[in-house]
Amino acid sequence: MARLIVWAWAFLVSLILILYVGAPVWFFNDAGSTIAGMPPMLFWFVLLPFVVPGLIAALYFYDQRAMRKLARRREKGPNR
Amino acid sequence: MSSSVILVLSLLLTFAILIVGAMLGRNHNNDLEGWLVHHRGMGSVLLWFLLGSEIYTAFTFQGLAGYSYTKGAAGFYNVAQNDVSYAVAFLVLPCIWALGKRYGHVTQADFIAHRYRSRGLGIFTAFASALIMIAYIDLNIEGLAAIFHVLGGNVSPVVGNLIGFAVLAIAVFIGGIRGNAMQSVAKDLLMFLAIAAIFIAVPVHYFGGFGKMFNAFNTRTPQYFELGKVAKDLGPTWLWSTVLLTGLGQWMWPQWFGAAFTAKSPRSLKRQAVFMPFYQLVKVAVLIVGFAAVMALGSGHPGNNVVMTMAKEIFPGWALVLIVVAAMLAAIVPGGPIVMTSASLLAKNVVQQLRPQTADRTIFWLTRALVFPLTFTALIITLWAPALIVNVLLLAYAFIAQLFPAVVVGGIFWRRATKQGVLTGLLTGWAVTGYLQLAGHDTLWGINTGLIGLAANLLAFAAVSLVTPAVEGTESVRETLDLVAVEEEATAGERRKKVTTTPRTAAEGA
Repeated sequence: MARLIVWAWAFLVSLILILYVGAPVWFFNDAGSTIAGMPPMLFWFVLLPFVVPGLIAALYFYDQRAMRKLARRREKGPNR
Repeated sequence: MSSSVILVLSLLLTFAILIVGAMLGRNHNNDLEGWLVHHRGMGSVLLWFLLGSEIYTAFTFQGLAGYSYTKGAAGFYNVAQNDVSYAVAFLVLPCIWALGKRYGHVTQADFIAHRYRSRGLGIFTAFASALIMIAYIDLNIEGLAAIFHVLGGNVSPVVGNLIGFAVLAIAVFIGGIRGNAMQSVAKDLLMFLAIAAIFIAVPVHYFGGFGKMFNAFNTRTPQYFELGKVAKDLGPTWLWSTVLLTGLGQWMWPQWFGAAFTAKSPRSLKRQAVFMPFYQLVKVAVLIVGFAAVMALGSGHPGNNVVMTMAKEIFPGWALVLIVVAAMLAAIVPGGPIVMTSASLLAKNVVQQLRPQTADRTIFWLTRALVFPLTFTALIITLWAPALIVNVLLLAYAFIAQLFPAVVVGGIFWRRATKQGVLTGLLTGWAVTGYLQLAGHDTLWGINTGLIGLAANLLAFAAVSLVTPAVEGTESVRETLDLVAVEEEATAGERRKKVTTTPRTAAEGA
């Protein structure tokens, strides 16, 4: 269970890194076009602060359930 | 309303907020744990304001707009940095909290000294990070100075800075961390209002609306929205390397690391990680104001001054007073925890470790007294070597992020890490970064030189740790997560108990 919690967290950190430094460079570093009337780079950085809390919230709910299981296993003792 | 009247009124209002906040927070400040981490009892709302206040500073209010104004799209790095660091914090801070509660840590140096069973390493990291933190106080003083530069009047920037930071030192001395959290509530609310007002007024005043402003971005300054166009050396490679360095390094600042100890439970820290990214919208708004300033003011203004210059052009006197108060609080309030942490590192982790016979009470008072000379030192450095706010921050990050292997890699995940590995890694990282910076390289092959230092640090840290004896009795990440889980269950149990007993008590009362 602890390993799953760490992997889920590492996945989230990697995903947010890619969204913030991969996507802008690959898809939005072009001032020639516009998205929703804005330069693409600006559009992306306006969008992400709304998306990221949702991603972290998803981890929050998964983690809450996993932590409860972890606490219960610990209560049962070392032969888990 | 003349500039002098605006400045004096703003100073008076700012001081009133600082003193009232300090007085409200002065309860429970009778020992170091109360003064510094509020006996680990801060709830989610106050913690949100405290963390927000420490992270969103004069840098956000003035420095970031100055960066997008002078460097273009490179300014977006800062939006990315904080969100990456919140994701990092989701697991790291609760682990540090749980270990801190178990062993009674109140500072980062306590954590390092205990984890590596080395008093000497604790003293070394405490002293080094206290020095690096002075740079963070500096950038806030730069922010305060920018206000005086723009508004002019009869109050000179030197006198204004002296008065401002003298009041901060007094407020910190009285109020401790809880007083600072109280001041943070006023500061954050005012700062949000001020940024919202500027964000709405700038497009209306200079462009005739948001649509026209965005259209002007597309047609008149498109180069500002492509990496590596306005600032040639700040391209895509710089972006990812800087976000990685600063995102990993953010929680290495001892004052933010210390904020983790103030939380009531690990779950309230996780909740912060969910909600803190909403603060980033404020940063995006400030960046947009900086981009707009390129057309509104023309190029050539000092970056730090653009927000206040536009505010002065747009708003009537009474509104400008409120904006100036917000900017002053944004410069002064975040300085509080930095000065407090720096003082506690020097008193508790350097002086008391070198002279163990010193009583806890003496250390408590020494910590509070050190607030004054530390603030004064930062002020002198700023007056002697003024700089662009973001440049000060990036340089400081390059050095503080070198603590990442010691605190996170070895502190939580890798039990094989040793004190020799940490020391070698730190010295290597600082030497590489320092050498490259002194040689005039902010970047090397487009990569942030702080990250090159961190890579060298990690290599040395791992290699030396593997050939030196392991530290006995440290927790594995599994054991630490067990601790976190138990603490969370205990807090949830208490909450459930409260919910079930409250109606009965009410019924009994009736």
